[in-house]
Amino acid sequence: MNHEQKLSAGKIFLGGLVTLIFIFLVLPTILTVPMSFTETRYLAFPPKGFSLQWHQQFLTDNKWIEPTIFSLKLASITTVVSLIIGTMASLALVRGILPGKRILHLFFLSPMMIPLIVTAFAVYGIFATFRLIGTMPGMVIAHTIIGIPYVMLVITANLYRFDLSLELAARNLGASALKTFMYVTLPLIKPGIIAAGVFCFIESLDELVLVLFLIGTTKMTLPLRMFAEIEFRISPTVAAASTVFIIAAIGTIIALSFIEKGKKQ
Amino acid sequence: MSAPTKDPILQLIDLKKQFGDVTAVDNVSLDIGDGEFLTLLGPSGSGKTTILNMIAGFEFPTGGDVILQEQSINSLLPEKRNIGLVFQNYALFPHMNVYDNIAFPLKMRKFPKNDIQQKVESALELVQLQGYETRFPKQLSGGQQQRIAVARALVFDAPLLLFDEPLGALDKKLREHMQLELKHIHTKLNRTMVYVTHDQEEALVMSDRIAVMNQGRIEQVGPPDELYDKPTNSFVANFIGESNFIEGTVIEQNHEGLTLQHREGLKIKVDWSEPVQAGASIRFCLRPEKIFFADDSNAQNCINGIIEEVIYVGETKRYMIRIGETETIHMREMSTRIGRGRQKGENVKIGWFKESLRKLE
Repeated sequence: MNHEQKLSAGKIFLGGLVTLIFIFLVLPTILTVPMSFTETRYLAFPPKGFSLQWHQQFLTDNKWIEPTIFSLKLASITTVVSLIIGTMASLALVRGILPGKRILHLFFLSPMMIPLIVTAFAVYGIFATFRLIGTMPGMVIAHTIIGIPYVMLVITANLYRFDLSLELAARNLGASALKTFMYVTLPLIKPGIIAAGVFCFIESLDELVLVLFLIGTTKMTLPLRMFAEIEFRISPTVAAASTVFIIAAIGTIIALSFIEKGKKQ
Repeated sequence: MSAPTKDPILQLIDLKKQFGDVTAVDNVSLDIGDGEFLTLLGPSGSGKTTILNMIAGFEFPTGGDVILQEQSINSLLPEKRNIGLVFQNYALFPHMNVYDNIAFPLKMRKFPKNDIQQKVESALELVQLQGYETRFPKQLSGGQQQRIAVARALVFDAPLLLFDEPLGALDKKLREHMQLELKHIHTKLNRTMVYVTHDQEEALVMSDRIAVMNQGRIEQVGPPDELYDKPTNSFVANFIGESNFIEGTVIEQNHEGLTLQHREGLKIKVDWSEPVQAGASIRFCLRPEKIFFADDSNAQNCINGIIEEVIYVGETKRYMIRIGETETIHMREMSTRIGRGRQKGENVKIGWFKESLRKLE
C-alpha cells in the first residue's frame, strides 16, 4: 500500500516536471500568436489592443508574398527531388549487393553531421564557379543535400523492417521487379515516404544558413525576410508570419493523424 | 528409390546449391509425377527449403537443372515460371484486402475483370471463406490467413504448387485440420503439390510420396507406409517414427532366415533371404510397437530384461527395458491393453517376431 502511494507521488512529481518542460518549450512559440495582433508598430508583450493589420500586410504585401511563394516552391521541389534520390539510394543500400555499404551509408548521412556552415561554405565555392548562386536550381541542389539524409534515415529503417517474403510472393505471383515495387513495396513504405517528405519540406522551409550564403542579391526566402525584418526593426509582421506557419504546422499534424486513423479502420 | 506412378511433371536433375563453403543441396535428382503430392521431409538445414527456392526461382542452382513440363526453367525469372507458392508466414499483402490479394496474380496476367471476379469467388469457395472479400489480412486468424494464401496460390491455375512449411505457425488442432483440408483440395483439384516440412507426422498424413532429406541429400523416397515399414538406413528409421537399432554378427543363414550373435550374448533370429556373409556385422531397425511382453509367447526372439522406466503418454505406454549390461530397448504398448500394469524395476520377458526386424544399410 505504502509502496503504491510513494509510486503515485513520484508519478505526480514526474507529471508536473514534464508539464513544466513542455510549457517552457512551447510557450514562447504560442506567445507569438497574441503578439501578432498588437496595434503597436513594434513587437510588444503583452500586446496592446487588437488589430489584423500585420496579418493583412503579410498576406498582401509583395515584400512578404514573394519570399513566401519562393520558399514554398523551393521546399516543394526540394522535397520531391530528395524523396526520389533518397528512396532510390535507400533501396540500393538495403537491397543491393554493393561493396562498402556501411561507408556509403555514412557518406549519404554525412551532411547531417557536418556543421551546416561548413557545407554552406563548401557549396558556395562550387556554386560560384558554376554560376548557380541566386538561382532556383542552385537552391534546390543545396537543400537536397541536407534533405537526402532525412529521407534515407526514415526509408532505410522502413526497408530493414520490410518483410522480404512479400516481394518474393509478388514475383512468384507474376509481377515483374518494377510492378513489385509499384504495387507492393511502394504502398507499404508510403507512411515512411510521407513522414520523410514532411521532414524535408520543413527543413527546407526553415533553413537559413545555406540561404544566407547562396541566395545572392535578387531573391529572398521567407526566413531570410523575417531575419531581415528583425534586424532592421522588430515588426509585428514577423509574428503574423509565424502565426500563419504555426497554424499550417498544426493543420498538417492533424491531417496526418487523420490519414493514419483512416488507414487503421 | 521408387518412381512416380505417372509421367513426371517436374524433374530435378543433379541439382546442387553451394553457399560459400556450405553445400546446401548436394546433387539431388527427383522426378515428381503429374498430380502427385510429394513431401520433402527433413530437419532444418537439410536443404529442403533451398530446393523449393530453386524451383520457385528465388535461388539459382550452382549445378544441375530444374525441368517443368519438359522444359528447363532454370533461366526463367520467378514471375515467368507460373508456379504457385504458399509461404511459411503466408506473405499476404497487408495493404490489400482478401479480394485484391487473391486477384493479384490474375491482374498481373491481365485477366478480364469478369474472369477475375469469378475465379476469386471460386477460389474462396474452395477454401470455405466466401464473404471475406473486403477483410484485411490482419483482421483474419492465422488459419484463415493460411487459407487465403492457399487460395491466392491456386487461383491462377498453375500446374505446380509449392508449400513451404505452411502450417508451422498454427496450433496442433488447427494444423491437423488444415492437413486434411489441404489433402482434400489436392484430391479435388488433382494438382501437383510439393510440400516442405520437418514434421514427420504431417508428411505421413498428407503425402503420396515422401523424400527424406539429410545434409543436402535425399536419403530415401517412397510412399509413407514404405518409409515407415522399410526404412533403408538409420537416418530414415530414426526420423520417421521411433526405432531401436540392433546390431549383431551373422553366425548362421538357412531357409528360415538369419541368426545373429548380439554383443550381450543373445542369439537373434531375423527374416532375411538375401545371401549374407557369415561373420558380417549387420544393423537392424526394430519399431517399439512391434515388441510385446512375452511371458507365454511363441515369438522367435525372446529376451529377459528389467524395466528401467515407464512413461504414460495417453493412448500408449512407453517402456524402457534394459537388456544385459549396455543395451536399452524402447517398447510401446497400447494403454487399453488388458492385463496387470508393469512396474519400474520389474523383471520381464519381451519378444518380437523375426519379420519385425528391418535390415539397414
